[in-house]
Amino acid sequence: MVKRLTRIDERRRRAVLQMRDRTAVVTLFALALAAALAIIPALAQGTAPANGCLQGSASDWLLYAGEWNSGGYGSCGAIRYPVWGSDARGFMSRPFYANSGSTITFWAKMSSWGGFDLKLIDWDNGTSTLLTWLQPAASYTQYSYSVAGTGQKKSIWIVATGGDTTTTGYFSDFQVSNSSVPGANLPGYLNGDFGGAKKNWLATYGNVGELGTVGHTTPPAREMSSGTSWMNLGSLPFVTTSSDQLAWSIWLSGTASTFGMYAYNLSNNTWSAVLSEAVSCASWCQRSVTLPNGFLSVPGMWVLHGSQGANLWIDDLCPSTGCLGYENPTPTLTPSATATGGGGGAYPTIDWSQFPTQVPYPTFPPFPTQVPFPTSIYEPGTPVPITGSVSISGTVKIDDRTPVRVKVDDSTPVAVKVDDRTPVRVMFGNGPNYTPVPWQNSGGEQRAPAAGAVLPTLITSPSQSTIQYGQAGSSANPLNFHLQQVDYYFANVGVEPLGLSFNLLIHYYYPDAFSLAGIDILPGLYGLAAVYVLVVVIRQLQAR
Amino acid sequence: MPATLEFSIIFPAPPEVFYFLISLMIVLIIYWVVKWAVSIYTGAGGG
Repeated sequence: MVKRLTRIDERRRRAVLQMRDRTAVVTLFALALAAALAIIPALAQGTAPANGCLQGSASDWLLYAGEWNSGGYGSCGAIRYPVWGSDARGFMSRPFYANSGSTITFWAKMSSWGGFDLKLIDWDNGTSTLLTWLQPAASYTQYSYSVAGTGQKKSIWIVATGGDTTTTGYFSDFQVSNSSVPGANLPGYLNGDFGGAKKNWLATYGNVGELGTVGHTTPPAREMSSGTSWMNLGSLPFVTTSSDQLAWSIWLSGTASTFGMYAYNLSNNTWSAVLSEAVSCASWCQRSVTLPNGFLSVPGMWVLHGSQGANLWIDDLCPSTGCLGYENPTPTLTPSATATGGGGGAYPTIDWSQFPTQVPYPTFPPFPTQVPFPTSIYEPGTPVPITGSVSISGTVKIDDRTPVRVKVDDSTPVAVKVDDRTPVRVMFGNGPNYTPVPWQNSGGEQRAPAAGAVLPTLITSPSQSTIQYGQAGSSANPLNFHLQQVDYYFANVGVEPLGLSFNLLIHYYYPDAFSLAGIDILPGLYGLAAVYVLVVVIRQLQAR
Repeated sequence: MPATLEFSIIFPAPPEVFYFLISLMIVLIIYWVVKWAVSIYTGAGGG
C-alpha cells in the first residue's frame, strides 16, 4: 500500500515537473513570438512621409484645408479636416520615393457622411492620380493602398469631395512602406524655367496650366490662366540654404485680374503672400519677390494663383542664385591636385616643431621598504630561548610546551610548564607530575567574585499597580480618584566592603485621574504643581 | 538577607517628570557647590 502510494506520488511529481517544463517552454515561445511581432511592424515601418505620425504638429504637410489635431491614432496626431467651408485643395505630404511594393497605410475616421479623394502626386510628371475615393469609418480604421512607380517622387494628397456641415475627417499615422525621403530640392533646382516640362510643379486647382510655346528667354512658359478658368500651381518643397536664396524673380506675360504668389512654410504651416497684382504685360515683365526670413533653412513651397479672365504666362521663377535645373546635382569628386614641375623638386620640409614632444616616461615610485618585524611584546630585554638548564633573570619566553626549569628571583630552580591558554599561564612544580599552583603573577585570569558574594541587583523595569478611590465614569459616585503606583526595588545596594548592604523599595504614586462631581481637576492640579515648581526654582535662582 | 528600606513618594506627576525635576535639582546642587567652592577660594564670602 505504501509502495503504491509512493509510486503515485512519484508519478504526480514527474507530471508536475513536466507541466512546469511545458509551461516554461510555452512562456518562452510566447515571449519570443511577442518580441518578433513587435519587431516586424517596426521593421516594416517606412520613414516616409516626413512627419507621417503628425506628432506634435502638422509640419511637413501642406494644409490648404484642415488643421493639426492631437486626437490621432495611437500616439500619433492627426489632421482634422472639416469638409464644410474648407479649401477645396485639401492637404498633402512632403515627397517620398516610392519603390516596388510600396504601400501607403494610414488611419482615418469620419463623422457624418461624405468622402475624400486619396490622390497620389507624381512630382516627376507634375500630375496626380486618384488612388481611391475614401469613405472612412466612424472610428479609426486602417487603410492601405499600393503605390506604383519605382524611384519616383510622390506625395500623398487628400481632398474632400462631399459632406455636410458636420462632416469631419481625421487622418493619422501615415506610413509608406519600402520608401525613403528624398533630400529637399535647393531653390535653384525647382525647374523654375520649366525646361523640365511640368516636372516639380502641380496644378492643385483648375485643370489647365499647360506648357506654352512662348517663353521669357526660351520656351516653354507655364500657363497660369487661360481666360476661362483660374488655377493654382504648387511647387515641390524646397529648402533655402543661404539668405540670397530668399530673393526671387519671376517673369510674367499677359493680363490677369489677379496674380498672387504665396509661399508656404512647411515647418510651421504658415502662409506668406509675397506678391499680388493685376498683371498687364504685353511682352514679359520681371517681378522681384522676397521670402520672409522665416523660410531660411526650412522647407517651403510656392503656391501661385492666377485668376480667371485673361491669358497669363509665367517663366523663370528663380532665386537670385539662378535657375539651375530640376534635380539637385549629384556631388562630383574634385580631382586631387597633380604634381607640377616634373623636375624632381625637393620634398616638402616637415615642420617638426608641430609634432608633439615625447611625454617623459613615468618614474617609478620607490619600492616599498621592508616593514620592520614586530618587536617582541615581552619586555624588558630580548627573549632568550632556553636550552638545557640556564639561569636567567628578567622575562622568560617559552617557545613550546616542553617543560623547562626556571630559577625565579634567586629561588630554587623550578620546572615550568606552559599550557595552551592565552595569556600563557606558568605553573610551578616538580618532575613530570606538576602540581599546578595558581600563580598570581600569571596575571591573565579574571578575578571571579567570591562564592556567596552579594551583588547589587538593580531593577530593570518597575512594577506597576493602581489604587482606585471612588468609581470611574459613575454619576452616582461624585469622586473618581485614581492613583498609579510604581514600585522601584533595588536589591543589595550599599557599600559591601563596609558590611553595609540593604534593599531599597520606593513606592511612587501619582494621580492619573482625579475628578469631583464630573469635573476633571487633574489638569488644574498638574498646572498648580508646575507653577509651584517653577516658582521654587525661580526663587532659588533669585536668592542666589 | 539584608534589611529593606521602604518609603513612598507621592507626587502629582508621572515618574518621568519626577526624574526630570530630580535631574534639575542635581544640576542646581552641583552649581551651588561649585559656586560655594569658588567663593571660598576667592574669599568673596557667601555661597
